[in-house]
Amino acid sequence: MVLLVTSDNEQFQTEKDIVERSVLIKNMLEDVGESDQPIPLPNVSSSVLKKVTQPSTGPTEIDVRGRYLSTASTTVESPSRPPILEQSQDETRKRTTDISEWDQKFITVDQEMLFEIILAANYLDIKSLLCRRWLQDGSQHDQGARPPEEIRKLFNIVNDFTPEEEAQIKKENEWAEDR
Amino acid sequence: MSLDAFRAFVLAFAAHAAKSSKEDIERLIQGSQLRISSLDSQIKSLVEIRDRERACVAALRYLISPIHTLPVELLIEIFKLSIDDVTHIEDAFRISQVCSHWRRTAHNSPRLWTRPLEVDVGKSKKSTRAYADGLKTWLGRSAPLPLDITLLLDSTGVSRRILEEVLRISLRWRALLFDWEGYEPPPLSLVSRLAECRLDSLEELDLGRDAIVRDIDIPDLPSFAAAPNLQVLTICIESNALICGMPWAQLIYLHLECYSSPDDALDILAQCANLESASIRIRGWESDGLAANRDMITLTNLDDLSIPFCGLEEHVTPFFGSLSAPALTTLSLDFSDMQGGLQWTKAYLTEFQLRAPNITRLVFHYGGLTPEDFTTALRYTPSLAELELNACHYFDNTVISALSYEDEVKPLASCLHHLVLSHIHERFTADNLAGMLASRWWTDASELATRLDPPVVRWTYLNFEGFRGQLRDRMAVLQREGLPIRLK
Repeated sequence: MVLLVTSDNEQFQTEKDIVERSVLIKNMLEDVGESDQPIPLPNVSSSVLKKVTQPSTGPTEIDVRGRYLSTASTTVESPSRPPILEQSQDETRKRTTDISEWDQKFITVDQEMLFEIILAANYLDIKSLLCRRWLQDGSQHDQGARPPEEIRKLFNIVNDFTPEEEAQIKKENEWAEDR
Repeated sequence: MSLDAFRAFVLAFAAHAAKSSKEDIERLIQGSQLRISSLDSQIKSLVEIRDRERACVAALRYLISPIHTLPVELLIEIFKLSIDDVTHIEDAFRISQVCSHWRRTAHNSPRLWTRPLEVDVGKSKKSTRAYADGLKTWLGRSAPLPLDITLLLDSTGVSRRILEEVLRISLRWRALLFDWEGYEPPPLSLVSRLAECRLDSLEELDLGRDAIVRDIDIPDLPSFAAAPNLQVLTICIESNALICGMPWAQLIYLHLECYSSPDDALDILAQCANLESASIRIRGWESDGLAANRDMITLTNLDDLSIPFCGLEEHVTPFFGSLSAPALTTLSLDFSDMQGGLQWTKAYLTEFQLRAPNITRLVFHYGGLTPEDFTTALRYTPSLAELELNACHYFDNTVISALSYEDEVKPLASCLHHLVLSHIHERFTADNLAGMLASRWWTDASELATRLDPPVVRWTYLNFEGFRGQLRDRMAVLQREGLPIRLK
């Protein structure tokens, strides 16, 4: 077990194989060797670390996992796994169903937490948590990016293009279609 | 004002105006129209002010929204993860068309624009100019990073305008490939243009599985010999008079489709001293002795050799007579495209195997070997660990007996632990195969009990395809007993 200490000074006893998915923690453990010393995580709050390391316990947790890790699905029946242990994209795709309505609901409900987890994933260096699907259309099998209007709506982004830029965008899209 | 009050007002106004002259009424109309125009103008201004305020609110909300606070490096990483290989063009465009901040960020991130790109250089498009302009913009965004480009050719010929855009970034080609399936083979004129470019980044060149078509007369054939980093090459030759110059000595992977004399393939191999992996499609010779007087070709680093034989000529084993590959671990022989018979001279392969003592994996597809030829091939592969056979009807009871571990006598291929059999005519009995498989299998418990190092390696992977009836039933029984068998 490894003892982690969060920015708000909470302590977490966590299994080594779970925390070692974080490149940052893995490197720390390698540097320190076998030790009972706690590992400080000054950029991760306890609420975020809970989301990252603990198995899901309720609907909110499942939502967060699914959204960030692109694995949760309304049809998943397998036992809950900590997000940090989630598997490859291929495996993910097999288990994912149409979740776009749910996606939308989640993103509007809990954006603050979404971004906190993204920042934590970046800090902890956990690639699998830097989910790709939050810009992607969950209803599409090919997993292409969402249309710009949809991304703007989901993240309160303003279309601030100049007419010249709009014209350039139109040309780009025509080229992409004619290819 | 409620609807009733509004109605009452209009009625009262009309009743009052009814006593006026026509001129007075017309004046009243003019006055009302002026007031309406004034109100319209005020409403328009107010709507503009309202929309501006709405835009301000949205912009301010965006400034404090979590997505705006993400570090740019992280945003780029997420953009990168959101781009799918299949839809990468649409995805990159969509991301860059969200807002000016994202657009700037995306345009300043060349790695978002570096997925392998197919370029249709044919003239069949509605507007080659628009296509070329769009291509130029796309290619510009990946600068200065290297790119993988696949050229699609069709029967309409090559568009000069589009080709120019591709040639313009030749310094950045990492891989240059021709898509041959369903398209035209590369013309010599095009290959010459490509070879004239500076190819500093080029690591992989695929000139297709069809030979170059001589569409122009030029004194010297194109040469890619000056590509300093070229290491992976796919090329097809039908005549030794049309072999482009290549930096053969620096190649580590060669896919050669040789439909001219097999000696041409050997001449090329003789120059490829650093090959690590090779796939050589080659014809045979008309007689056995034709390749006998060649110097030995030693490929010191060759690890993986795949040889699909083709054509009418029956003598293919001389190919091995002048080849030495001391580091070879995988040898794959495919006889399925041979149109004549097969004259197998055991000695050539045996001598080659003596010069390649580290082969651990053998793959055979088809071929008219005898069981004895095949047994000999196995015997001279002392480290054989993996064997894959597809439609090899020489895998019969005698071969199976030689592989069986009985009476504590070390069998043939004692290191063999991985066996794949596909579509093999049953020239063996189910009992024999089951017995052989069982003789080389034991449980962990029995291994612990004996405490002896077994003289054969235990199976780790058994894959059988096309087994039917009793044979399949027997394999299913062994599967239940714990053997690692997969049945298709």
